[in-house]
Amino acid sequence: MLRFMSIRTARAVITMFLVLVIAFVTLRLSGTPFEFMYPEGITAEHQAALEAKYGLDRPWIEQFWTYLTDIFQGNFGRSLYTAEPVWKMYADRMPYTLLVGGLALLLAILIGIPLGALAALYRSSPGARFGMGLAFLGYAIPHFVIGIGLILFFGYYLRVLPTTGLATPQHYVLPVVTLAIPMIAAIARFMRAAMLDAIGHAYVNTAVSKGLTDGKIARGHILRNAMIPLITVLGLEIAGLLNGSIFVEAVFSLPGVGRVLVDSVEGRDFPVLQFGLIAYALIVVLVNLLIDLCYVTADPRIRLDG
Amino acid sequence: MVDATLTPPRRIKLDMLTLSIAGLLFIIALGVFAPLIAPHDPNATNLLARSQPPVWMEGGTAAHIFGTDNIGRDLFSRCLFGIRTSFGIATLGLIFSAILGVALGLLSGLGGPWVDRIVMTITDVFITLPNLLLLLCGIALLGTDIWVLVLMIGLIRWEAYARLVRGQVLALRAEGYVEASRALGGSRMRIALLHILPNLASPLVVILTLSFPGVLLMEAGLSFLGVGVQPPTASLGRMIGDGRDYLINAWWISGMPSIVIVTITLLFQLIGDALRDRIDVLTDG
Amino acid sequence: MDDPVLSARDVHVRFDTPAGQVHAVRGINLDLFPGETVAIVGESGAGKSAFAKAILHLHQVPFTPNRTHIEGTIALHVPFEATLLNAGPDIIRKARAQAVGMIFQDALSALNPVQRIGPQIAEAVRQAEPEASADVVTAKVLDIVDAIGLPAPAETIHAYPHQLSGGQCQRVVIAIAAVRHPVALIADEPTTALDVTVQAQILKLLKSLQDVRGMAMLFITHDLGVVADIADRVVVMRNGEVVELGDTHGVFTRPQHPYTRTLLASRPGSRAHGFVAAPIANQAQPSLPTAPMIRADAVSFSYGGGLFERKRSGFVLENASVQVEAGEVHGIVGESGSGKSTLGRLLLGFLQPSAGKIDVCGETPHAVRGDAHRAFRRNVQVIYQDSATALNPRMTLGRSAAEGLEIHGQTVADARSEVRHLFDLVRLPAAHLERFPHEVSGGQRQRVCIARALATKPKLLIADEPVTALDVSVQARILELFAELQADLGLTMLFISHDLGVIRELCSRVSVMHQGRVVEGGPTENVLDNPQTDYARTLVSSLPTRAWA
Repeated sequence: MLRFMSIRTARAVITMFLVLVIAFVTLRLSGTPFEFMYPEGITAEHQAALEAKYGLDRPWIEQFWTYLTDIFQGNFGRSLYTAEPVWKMYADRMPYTLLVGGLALLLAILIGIPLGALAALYRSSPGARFGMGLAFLGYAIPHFVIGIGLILFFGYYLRVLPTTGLATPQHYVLPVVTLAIPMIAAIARFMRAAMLDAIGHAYVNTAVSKGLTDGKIARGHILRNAMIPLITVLGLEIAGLLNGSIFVEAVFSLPGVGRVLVDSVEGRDFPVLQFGLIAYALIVVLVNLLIDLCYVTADPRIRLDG
Repeated sequence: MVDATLTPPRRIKLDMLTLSIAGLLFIIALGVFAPLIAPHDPNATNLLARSQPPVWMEGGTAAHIFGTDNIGRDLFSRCLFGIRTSFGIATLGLIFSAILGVALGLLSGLGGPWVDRIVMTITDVFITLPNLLLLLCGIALLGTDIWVLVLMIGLIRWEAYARLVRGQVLALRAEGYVEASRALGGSRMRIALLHILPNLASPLVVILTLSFPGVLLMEAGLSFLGVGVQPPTASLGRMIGDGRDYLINAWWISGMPSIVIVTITLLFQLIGDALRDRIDVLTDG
Repeated sequence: MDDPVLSARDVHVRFDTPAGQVHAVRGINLDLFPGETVAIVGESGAGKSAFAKAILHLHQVPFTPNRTHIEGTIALHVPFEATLLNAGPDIIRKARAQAVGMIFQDALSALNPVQRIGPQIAEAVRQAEPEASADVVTAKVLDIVDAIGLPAPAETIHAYPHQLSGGQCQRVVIAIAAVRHPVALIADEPTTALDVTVQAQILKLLKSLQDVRGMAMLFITHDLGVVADIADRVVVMRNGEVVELGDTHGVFTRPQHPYTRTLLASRPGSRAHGFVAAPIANQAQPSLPTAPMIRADAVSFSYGGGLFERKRSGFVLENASVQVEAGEVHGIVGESGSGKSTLGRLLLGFLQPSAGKIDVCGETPHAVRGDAHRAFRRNVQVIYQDSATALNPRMTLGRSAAEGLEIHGQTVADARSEVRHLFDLVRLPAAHLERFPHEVSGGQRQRVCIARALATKPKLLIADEPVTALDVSVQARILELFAELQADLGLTMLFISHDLGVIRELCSRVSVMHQGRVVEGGPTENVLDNPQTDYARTLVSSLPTRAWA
């Protein structure tokens, strides 16, 4: 277990380092910020003086070191447009993104796992077929199309739910559902496959030969084994959640970090963008580590050997 | 039991897979021949025919069967050209990433333990990187040219193919027929070309098919956010994004390209599921 | 005699398959009496497992559409009277929980990988005795774990299946079956996946459990040696029908049905053994004192070398020495993990020894280059165990067989006629030239592999368990082919096998391997009839066939 986790941790560190390198290179390749600061143009001496002041004339490796120390001290720079500290731009908006994402994740787990499990156990029943048909649709349709569909139906046709912003609890319903649908579908589909795989294993025969009832076999043997591969899928889904939130925030005009990111791409606001990259990568890496830990704890075959 | 099974005579069955493939080929043909089929210039505005509904709704005309957008461009023509753009970018991006992935996978599988370790570490790290953010960085840096999209999509999607190819190469290397060929004195080249590549082809085709809609949606998503394909080039994602402001009065501006995209991804999904089932049958048997 | 505990009358089992219905069991009648062991033997597809599973309705996997149709009567008489076929689910469950225990072939996969051993056994106890208190259940679990001979029961019950060896897992499966004191055990090939020394221990365990508890046992196997060891009565099945039924001694000494006779005659080691290979070498090379074909001197081998691998891998091969003379058929025998296949791969030059010297056909296999390499590859050929993966699924059998000819520069036309000739030699119809591997049977595939190996006219053939995956009757025909080819072509053969019967039949000399070392070697008869080392003695005495050979 220690061996497994130390390899994973080492990988996480390498990943973060690589992300920092990418962020640094992106920032430096984007040119000097002076074009933004002085749109009317500057003299060569002035530019050289500025470069000396900001350390841009020193070797890359040294600049990278300064960059790293800055980041570890929490100094991420300021937006080229608003001059607002970058971390504050995110800190103000992150709670909304996390809240919508967290609710969606919860919803997806609560619906997806039972749906997939039941669809596997009663696979020839009409209900299971219908449920998996819906999951099939949810899996294939992108967030932004789902969001627009829900807005049209619940917002404009039925006129029962608000469609923009996050002013009241009702405002959360459509964004959360939109974000959750593809995840519900993915979890249900995976869960069903994992259950079917478990049903085919020989230990189910052993359980049958002990005289267990079907219900006990399903709970004690099939479900327990199917949950383990599901853990890894949850990790991937959480990473996917971050991507999805960008679209959902665009569709519903939410005050989350998605808008900041897209704006920073359009406006080439690199300090803002690089912070987004680092923050997202950190979240993904930490979630993955957490998932790995859950996985190791759940599977004795890795816990005791790896 | 006797395992000499007779293969049934081949005939094309009208099952879900065949129908889906036919439907998809039809849509691809629409995209490829868009310049010939499209009834209007996709970028021609007509301020007299702004926000016309589709033909089956009240006020729709046969001239614009999908209706028109807020500046009077024909949505049907734009959808056709959008299919062309989306498929073009996705196909090129996929080919690029497949080449990259196969090359790295072969390198990893055949290049000795140290090369393997390095390539696999890079692959592992790449999987955890946030794809969309990397895409956004690349676009911010290099601009929104179509070739930038192709390049970035290629750079981001290769790791799945590298893993697949490596895994297959390692598995195939241990197969009896590869060892037997070595024992007969077969050269590395012979083994790679005759025994490994042909047996690699079909899983690769399957995984490429499975990942195509993801790539397509990547482009559509970026365009939807406004940082992908730039106007006036027609792109399904961009059309959906631009139509958002008119949802109340003219849902079809976003709706028609949405329906097209959903149709395409559903067809791919159907094909993917069917292929997966068949592969499972193969691996089980 | 007492009344039977279980009786089957006119049982039929049919499976629905995509290709149509398969009639797997065609009318079996059988009584199982208290305390006796009945063995059902037959080759794969004979219907023996299908019948065994039908008794407890184990064909019906929960949450899976039913594809099995069972007809006839199966009645349980002890401890309660019940007709099992067409019984309600409650009665079937009660019979499973209290009356009849089931033991499976692949023990590791028969255990739940994420549950500790103790709870898995306890579950069976609670099912049989729902009123038992937690303490009683624990006591029973510890009791049975002790009885099945697992070390340190109090700790072992906290282990997960993957922490145990294959033999230990099978003991746990037996514990699950036996802990509820069933009146009968059904054992479906319980030792097939195990090494022969472990197999002997498991059979002993089953016997002793049976004696102590007076259980009846229905024992399914394809191995006639095991039958002779364990069974009071034997049922011979073929194509779903019982062809012969009688007491074991009678069936083995006076088989009535021709199929039983074939089966008995196919048994490796049952015929005059050693196709007298040594004199052939003399014929081929009458005067010259030839150099040995294989000489491996104190060869060691270990995997790894990477930073992380080193510490967990010991030596796979340690100071192993083997010498094989030209024209000889030399057997390498050992259990799984003994290093015998690794030795084969070293001799082929696929691995490089960590220490020691190898000489094959006058070359050092892993270091030979250039023209000498080409000659070496022509001279040394190999045949593998699994004929299904030994042929490229995308190449026709003819093309596969011609591969060596192509590599060594024959034109396609020449190669074609040559391959026709080879197919003749290995008794394959020419029609098979254009077939693909999945279209022919395992035995036929193995013949293609032999043809491919012979195409370059090798001097040395290394065969790594070439008949292990085949049914006995097919096995016998392939061994016959080997013997004939060896005699006709004067081949030197290194025959790797875990099966002493096969070795006895084919090899003039044998080396016994154990844990990476060659522990004993010499003429086959000497080694097998009069083993000198402890391990060789254990191995030979574990061999079930000895009981009546």
